[in-house]
Amino acid sequence: MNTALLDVRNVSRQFGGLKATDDVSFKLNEGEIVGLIGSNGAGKTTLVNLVTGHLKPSRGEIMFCGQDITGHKPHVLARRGLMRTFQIVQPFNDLTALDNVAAAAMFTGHTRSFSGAREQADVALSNLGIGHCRDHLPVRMTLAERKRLELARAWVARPKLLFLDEVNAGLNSGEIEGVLGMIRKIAAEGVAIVIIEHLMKVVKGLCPRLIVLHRGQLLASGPTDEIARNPSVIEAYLGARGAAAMLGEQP
Amino acid sequence: MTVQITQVILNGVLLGGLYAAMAAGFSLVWGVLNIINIMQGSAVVLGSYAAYFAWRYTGLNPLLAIAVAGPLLFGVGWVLQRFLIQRVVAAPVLITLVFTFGLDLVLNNAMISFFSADYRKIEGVFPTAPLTFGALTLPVDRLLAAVVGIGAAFALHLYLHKSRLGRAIVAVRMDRQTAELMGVRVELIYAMTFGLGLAMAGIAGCLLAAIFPTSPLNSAHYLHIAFVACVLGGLGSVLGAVAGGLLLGIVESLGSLFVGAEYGTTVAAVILLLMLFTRPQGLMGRAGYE
Amino acid sequence: MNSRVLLAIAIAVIGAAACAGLPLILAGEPYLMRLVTMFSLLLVLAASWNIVGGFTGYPSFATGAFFGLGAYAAAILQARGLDWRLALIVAGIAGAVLAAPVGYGVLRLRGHYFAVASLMLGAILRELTTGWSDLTGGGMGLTVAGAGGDPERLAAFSLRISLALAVLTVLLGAAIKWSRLGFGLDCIRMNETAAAGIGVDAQKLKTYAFTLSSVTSAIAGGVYAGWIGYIDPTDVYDVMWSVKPIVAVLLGGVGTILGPIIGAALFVALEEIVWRNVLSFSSGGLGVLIVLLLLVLPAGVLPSLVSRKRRP
Repeated sequence: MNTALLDVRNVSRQFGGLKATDDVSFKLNEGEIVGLIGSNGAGKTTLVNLVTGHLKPSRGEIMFCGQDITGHKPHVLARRGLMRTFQIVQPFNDLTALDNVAAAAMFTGHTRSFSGAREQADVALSNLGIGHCRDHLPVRMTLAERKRLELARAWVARPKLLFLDEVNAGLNSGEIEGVLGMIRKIAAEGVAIVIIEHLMKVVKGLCPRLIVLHRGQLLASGPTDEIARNPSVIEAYLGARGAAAMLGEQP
Repeated sequence: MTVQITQVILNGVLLGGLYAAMAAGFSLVWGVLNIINIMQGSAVVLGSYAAYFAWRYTGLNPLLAIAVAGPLLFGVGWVLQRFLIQRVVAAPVLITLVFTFGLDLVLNNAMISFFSADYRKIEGVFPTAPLTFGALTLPVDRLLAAVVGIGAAFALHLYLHKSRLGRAIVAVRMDRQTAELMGVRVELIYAMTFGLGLAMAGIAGCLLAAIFPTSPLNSAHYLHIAFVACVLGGLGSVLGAVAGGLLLGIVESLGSLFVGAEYGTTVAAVILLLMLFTRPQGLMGRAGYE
Repeated sequence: MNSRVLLAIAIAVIGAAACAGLPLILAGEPYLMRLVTMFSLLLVLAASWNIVGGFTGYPSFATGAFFGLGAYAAAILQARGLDWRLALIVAGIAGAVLAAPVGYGVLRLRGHYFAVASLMLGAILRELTTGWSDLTGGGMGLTVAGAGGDPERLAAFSLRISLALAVLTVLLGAAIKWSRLGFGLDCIRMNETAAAGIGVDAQKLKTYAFTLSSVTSAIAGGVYAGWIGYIDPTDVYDVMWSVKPIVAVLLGGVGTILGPIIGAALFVALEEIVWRNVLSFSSGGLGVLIVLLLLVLPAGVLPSLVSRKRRP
């Protein structure tokens, strides 16, 4: 029997009286790309925080590669191959792009030497098309370059599963195309990806499967076309135009 | 035995009333300016001196001296904030802490230079015979001081929520940028808040002077009390400071019964750490305020 | 890195030369010897603080707590007949034994909470020390046997050993800064959440930094106790032992290798020259210095880590 890569079981998280995440369950297999969509406040980032260890669930379990990772800390999960990017990019501001990525190579355990880490970082940077930024500080880089830096940092850790939190926010359409190309490249290496996204054309182009959250609960989950036709999803989030955009039809 | 414990708890509540006054202003400054005012303890002592000298030269009751110490320390606070602290208010924690530490050194040493480190005691203002309720005793000075202390904290709370300026302060505490966009003059608010914070410290000092001897050497102890009471009660909440102060007073009183009064800071620190690890937002605070 | 090896060698060589030569050069100048000894002790504390406050970005006020702990540990052991060398080593161990668990707990706090919790540590230790008077002599203090010998020999000896300790602490700081540990601490300083996200075990690294810093601070306390010959809680647990090192590093440049050296030198010079003339207000004068320093030169004399491009 094939164990799912990620198995989220009945996970809930409460803040005082507010249920930010309410009994959410889903599975993810190796190499899958899944879109995580829903309106603002639906609990998408909270869910990512729960899976990646930045928050502890109030209830439920999370299994990764068959092992219980519920409540494990982020650095442990990073070393096991569970990485995420942040909605607002979080580079190390005093380090060059090279060293930003080298840090990830070193601390996720793929090398113990500075030179080895820098070699791997060089490869990652050129793979993500920002080799020219090698010696720049993040403050000198454009937003798109910094987004790619964040991707490079996650990629160099050789993740099995990568969470991308609104990686396209603030980018123009040309930059978005570039980032999408990078994501496809990463996915082609067998990395499973969960992408939180608002842009329907991105979701349609990239994700064969979707998970829809609404008010902390799992509203629907399944192939993208089905989700686009799901009446409760249309009502809660997509709207008629959004659904049409997803199906590639005229509204 | 229960009578003894009840008496000890009662003593703690009375002490806690003082602590509430000490912590209320400190909590406000921390919540609004995001500054830990290391001068807090020395400001309390300064208030005590104001009360002491007012009593020595005019016979004024220290509980009434709050009308002197309050405005005096408000003015000191305003000036300090407007001309000095404002320059570093946005700096990292290390800088603001060391800065207020430097200011505290100046104030504390100035007090030692002017007043000497000798203990000064106000005598004969309150009846020495305590009130009694059955087997329980309530010293008159402590009772009155606690009432005034908690009253002052409540007055501050009401001011923050009922007056225009007070509400502006609360707005800045919640979201500085939005308040600024809505026309609130943040620098003015900061000066106002710091002034209020020191004024409360001065008032607390008057209350202390009614009961205890005054010396600049006590200032660190008062700082620790303000800090612990604040964290216990929850940052950014004046009522929280009251709750925290009362809790701290009771715990300290009980602690003094079981391990002796000389371990006050240790007991306070233990309960501080317990609170930080179990419920970091304090009794009444909102999580996420650092 | 070539320039680093050179720097380390330079520090070691100059330090060794100073240890050997200064006590001879300054023989017969007790005032100067005292000054250099104070400089050395301050340098140890400054370089120690720099590991937690500079490299890691955690504003610790606990340096003095461990200084006091070390002073008492060394004094008590010597009172029981232990040789001063061993006493110093055990003082260092005592620092580690306390720092590891306390650090592990306290380092879970951030910013203001961490700072004031660390500040209270010294006050707590002072209370406990005063209370446990059977062991520590309580408020009456303890006489310390020290290395013995006549006052001149003791002064020369104290100078030598505190200089040596200072050199070692600076080199320790350099070794940390240039190592994988230092790289991790730097990442924690810049962005602890992101650091955790790339596999940095922040809690572990912070605790290492705190513990190492406490060991050297504690040994400094032991050296101080032997030098002064008599300690009491109010002296060795004085909060100034926590604050002066911070001011020194602020003067010299936070998070750098040379910063503590330059800062400690400047600080001692300022303290002696300016305030010997204003004796009764000397602490107040320090306060004025701090206020002026932070208003005028927030980045210190050397550019501090804040604006520096880093190569780990």
